[in-house]
Amino acid sequence: MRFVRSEAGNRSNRTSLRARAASAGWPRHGSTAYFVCAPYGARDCCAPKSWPVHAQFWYSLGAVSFEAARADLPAVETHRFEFTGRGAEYFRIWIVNLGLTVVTLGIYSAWAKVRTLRWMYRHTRVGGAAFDYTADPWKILRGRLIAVGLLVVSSMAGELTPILAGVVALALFAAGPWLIVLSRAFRLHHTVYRNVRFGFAREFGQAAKAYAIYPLLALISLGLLLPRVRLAQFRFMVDNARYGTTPFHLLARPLEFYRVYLLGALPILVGLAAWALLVSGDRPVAMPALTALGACFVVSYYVVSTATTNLVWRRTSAGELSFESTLTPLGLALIQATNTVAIILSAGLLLPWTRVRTARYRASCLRVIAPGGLDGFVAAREAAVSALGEEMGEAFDVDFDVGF
Amino acid sequence: MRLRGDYYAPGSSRRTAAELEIFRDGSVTVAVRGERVSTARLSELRITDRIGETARTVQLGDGGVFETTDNDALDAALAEQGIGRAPRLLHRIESRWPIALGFLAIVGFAAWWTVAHGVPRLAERAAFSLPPSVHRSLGTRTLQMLDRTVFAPSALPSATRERLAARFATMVRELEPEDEAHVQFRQGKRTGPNAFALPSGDVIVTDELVELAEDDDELVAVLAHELGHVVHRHGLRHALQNSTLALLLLTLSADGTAISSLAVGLPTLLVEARYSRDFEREADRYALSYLSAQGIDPAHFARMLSRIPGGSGGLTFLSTHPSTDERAALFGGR
Repeated sequence: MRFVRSEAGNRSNRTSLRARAASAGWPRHGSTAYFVCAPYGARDCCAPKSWPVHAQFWYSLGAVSFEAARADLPAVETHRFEFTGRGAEYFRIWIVNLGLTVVTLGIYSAWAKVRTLRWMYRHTRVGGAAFDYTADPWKILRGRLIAVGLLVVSSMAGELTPILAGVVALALFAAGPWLIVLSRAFRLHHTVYRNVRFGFAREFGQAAKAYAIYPLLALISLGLLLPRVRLAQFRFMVDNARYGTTPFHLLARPLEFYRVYLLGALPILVGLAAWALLVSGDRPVAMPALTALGACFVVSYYVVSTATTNLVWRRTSAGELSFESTLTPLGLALIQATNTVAIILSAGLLLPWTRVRTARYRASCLRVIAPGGLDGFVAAREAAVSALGEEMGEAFDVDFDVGF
Repeated sequence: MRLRGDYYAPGSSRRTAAELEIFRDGSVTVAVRGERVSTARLSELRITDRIGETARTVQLGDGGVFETTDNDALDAALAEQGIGRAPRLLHRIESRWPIALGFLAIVGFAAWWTVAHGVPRLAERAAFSLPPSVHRSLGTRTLQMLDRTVFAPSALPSATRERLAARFATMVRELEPEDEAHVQFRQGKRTGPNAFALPSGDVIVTDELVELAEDDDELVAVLAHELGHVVHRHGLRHALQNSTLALLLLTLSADGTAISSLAVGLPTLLVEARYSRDFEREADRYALSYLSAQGIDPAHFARMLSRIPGGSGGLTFLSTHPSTDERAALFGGR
């Protein structure tokens, strides 16, 4: 959160204010949204510029909530996301991918990945058009080979001397943010919708802050800063993304994240309190009590993860576009629990079907609100992005998908 | 040939209904409401592969895109021009159930072979090539941990201990020089009458087992079984196999959901139990051949087994040991 009261006080010279705001990382909308917010301080209160001026004004003042302000808007074009893939179709693609990967000793895995993602993306539709994934399997294979080579070298270095192992671990830690940025950039660069590519700004410094420095702060504060850190990470992911030339922007406030995490902490607090009261002293811990405590953590996980996803989507805008997400903890938990049962009972054969139904549920909970329609977006000119980041990110298990 | 679809002008997300016409000579035109917007040759276009029944795009070279779901017509036109044979073949493979079932058989066989033979063989080779220091440090740490949490010092009369130790020492002396073994006595506490072989070659015999035995030959039989574990390096192989298996299953099933990683636990448990039963059978065979060579009646082992409480029953596929009946039959007991 960046307060700019001193600048806001100087309202006589609006052009210089705008220039300074742009350099300070304010939304580059250059629109009414900015001028409505400016006098009231925080950048986080900016309303999407697609709103009528009065809605932006009341929301920016803090007089009405985001939902209330949006509910008052005139009816606009809303498109529901849908996932049209079917389990049977995916099963055949999945099993052929696996088989060819086995037969080619893993080399086909790059093609398998591209075909799977392509199938998934192309079946994800909104506004009558599908997404597409355009990565080149050869590039992915190259990235994968380099990543595997580095893994082998680093683990061998660890075997040889403990000091070298420490150096390698440190290097991996330092490379983390770099990997996140490259992986994100590669994925979004190869995501296309209606002939316009997505993109991701390669801000390594911001990544280091969001994924190395802030988590340390969260640790030092014993988790009290965790919601704030999660917000910073989501803001990094959303604010650096763009659709063609249109940047995404996340408007969420820290308070809203704290509310989500407080809600998520409730089941755990209740569980721990019950534990303290009922399971006392030296008596051996009963299995049911342990299971109940575990269930409290599971409930909390689903509450937090769905509420965060909903919040982030609802507060995200891209130009005139805004989003509505309606995941429910119960809905997602039921789907994943039944998925697990299905996978176990079918010895893994129903895995494709479970992926399809999860994708269908997630898509059905997402809508895009497009006041000006989806026709007016323009592709950006840009250079190609290396696959190394994405594959390295996978090899070292740092996948940070925010969930398209 | 005419295909219906959508046209996007270069660099724009504006969608307009359009028609793509492919002529016999391989030239292509895209027309919006009868008006030609793009012309090219089919062989110069980039056409994305067909995957399932998803929409495909034709990149028109100038940055414009034609998107269509009329996959069959597009494929027919491409076939006529002799373009894109490999992608068409891949799609044909992916859309036939009999072929999919064939691939299922391949994958199933590969999975079975990896679990049943690949991982155990790899672990065996690794365990025998690792230096003794690895075995020793692993076993010593385990023994220290067990001493702290489970066992108590042995309370057997020192005469019994010395008599048995001397008997065991002769057995150990007959092993190959690279197989070292040391017998240790401990009070088993909640492990009851039992014997354990650790990777370091330490064989632990509990007081309860000694008290349960009716003569020394029965104890020698049990010890021969434990020496089988030592000789075949079961301790380290067990650790290597299980960690490789867990890693393998986790990598294959990782799709990011918290619950699916839990689901991996059950199959891991089943396979681990199977591995463990295989080790027990191998140790049993070792004991059998040792006893026969020494002229000791193998039925001693079966009698000892039948006296240990809780030896059989329960779910056989979850059990870490073969059933007592099966083992007794091997040693000719009952």
